[in-house]
Amino acid sequence: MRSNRSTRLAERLARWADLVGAGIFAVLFLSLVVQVVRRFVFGAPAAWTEELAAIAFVWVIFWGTAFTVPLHVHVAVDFVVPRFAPFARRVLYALGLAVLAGCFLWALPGIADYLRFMGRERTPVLELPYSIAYSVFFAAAIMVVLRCAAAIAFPPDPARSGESEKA
Amino acid sequence: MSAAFGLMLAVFVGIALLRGPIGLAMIAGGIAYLAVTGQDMGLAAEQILNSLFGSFVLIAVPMFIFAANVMNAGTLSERIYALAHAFMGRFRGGLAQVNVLASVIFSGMSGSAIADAVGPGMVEIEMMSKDGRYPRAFAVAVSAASATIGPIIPPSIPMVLYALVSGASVGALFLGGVVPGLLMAAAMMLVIVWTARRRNFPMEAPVPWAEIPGIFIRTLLPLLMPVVLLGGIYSGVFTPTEAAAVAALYALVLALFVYRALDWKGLVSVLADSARSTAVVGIIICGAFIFNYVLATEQIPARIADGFASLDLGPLAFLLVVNLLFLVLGCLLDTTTLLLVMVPLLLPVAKALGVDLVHFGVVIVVNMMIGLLTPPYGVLLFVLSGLAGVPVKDIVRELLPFIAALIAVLFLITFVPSLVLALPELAGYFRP
Repeated sequence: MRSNRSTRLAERLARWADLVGAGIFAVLFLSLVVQVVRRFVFGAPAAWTEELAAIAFVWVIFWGTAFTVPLHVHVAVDFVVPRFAPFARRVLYALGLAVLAGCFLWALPGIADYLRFMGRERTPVLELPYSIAYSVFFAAAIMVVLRCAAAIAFPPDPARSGESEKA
Repeated sequence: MSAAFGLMLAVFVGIALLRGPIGLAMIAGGIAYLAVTGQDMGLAAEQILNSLFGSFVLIAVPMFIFAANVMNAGTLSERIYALAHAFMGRFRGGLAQVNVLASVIFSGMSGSAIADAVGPGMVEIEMMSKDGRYPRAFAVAVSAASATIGPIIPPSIPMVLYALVSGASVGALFLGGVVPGLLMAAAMMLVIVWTARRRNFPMEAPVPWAEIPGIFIRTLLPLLMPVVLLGGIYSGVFTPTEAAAVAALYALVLALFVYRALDWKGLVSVLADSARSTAVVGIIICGAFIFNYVLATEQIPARIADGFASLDLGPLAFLLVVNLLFLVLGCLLDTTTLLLVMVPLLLPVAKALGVDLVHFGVVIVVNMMIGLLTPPYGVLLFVLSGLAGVPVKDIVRELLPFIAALIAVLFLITFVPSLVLALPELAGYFRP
């Protein structure tokens, strides 16, 4: 079992990750607000707002996947595994996650190559290298592997299934 | 179908059935496909990232999520409840009717059924089950059923997703949902009239007419939100994405400055919540991008179109088959996955048969909202069962008449396309 101190550290990191996620979401929201205000109040649309919003959107999704949304909170099919006895349940859950982690692990070098290659190209308006705009995807891929490993080692409470907020 | 495609399906279905996250399971399936066919693994990243970066309309989704979270953190649900109560409380089974009417009003501001259920839905459950006036399971069932109106009356997150895969106009889809949404409300109100008589549900003391203008004024500012939102889209002033951001801004100004129901700390937590929900929906969208890339490579949609063509169905028979198929799939899969993976497979058939894509979209979304109520995978059931502490089994028993009523409306709008298309046509939409 993990010690108290490392649990406290994990909690503090999770809180910071949440704050950063909130910040990125605020950037997404504000760039759209600026877009509307520039066009209607000043009659001068800015080209960068749409691009910043698109980058922030990519970051919100993969920052969340990497650092703020635990695996069991994602949308999942919940009517097969709970029918088994607790031990079988743990084994089946771990098996699925092992395959998931294996696939992502396999793809990591290819993803890294792609991002390195995209360092040569820049976004049209802000001229940000795509390798930076997209870098959060790599973080998410690594974190999926680590999260799977952690969930196999320390399974989340099987009684609490992941029901998430969505459309 | 190639062996590689079979492997992709096996990886996806395998991980998903073992309770792995669905969105990540789709990406893993795509990776397995690329690996076996000897393609560059970077393609997985490229497909996902470039599609996300290029789909500006998708950014409406996080904005609608944010707007709904702001409204639920403010006192909006209570205000809407008070207004609906003033009108409907006086009838037999009045509080249940209030529940449906409040959902209709709220759905003009929110595009998500879950937001409707956890906001006004929970307020109404508490009011209905206070002093044991209504069986709690019945209260939960009414809240769950009426929450399905949320994404039918505009705005609507599922319809934005449908617009993304079909290329149909978001504005036309939104308007197309108005009449079906009102029909759903009417059907549920009839079920309540029938149940209230049979089980002798109570009436509320009528609110004096003199008090109604005051209650209306307290709700006036939130009621203006649909006007801003839809007026902006239909006058061509805003894109749907901008309109969603303006709606969120409007809700934020009301909650922060007018009602002072939200402080800065609350705002940060609403932002963090919205970011997490966006990631949850977004990762399924990403999985669908890579899945659809593989489906296109394997020419699966064309094969399905050929398969349907050989069945020689007319447009109506096709819609009927699709409805039955989705009612079953809706019990097993979630809305976003169905919309982004199954619907693109059927679109070429719909086009070939001359089915109007706006009509098709509204029918599909109504169908999927029924899927939110049907076990074993009924998200509204789980959420409300958890929040209200009522077993799913009891809710389902009370839900059955409502589900029957919703299915009746579904078939009505399937057979009478004008119920969907008349309003968009008034606003200038042409059937191709």
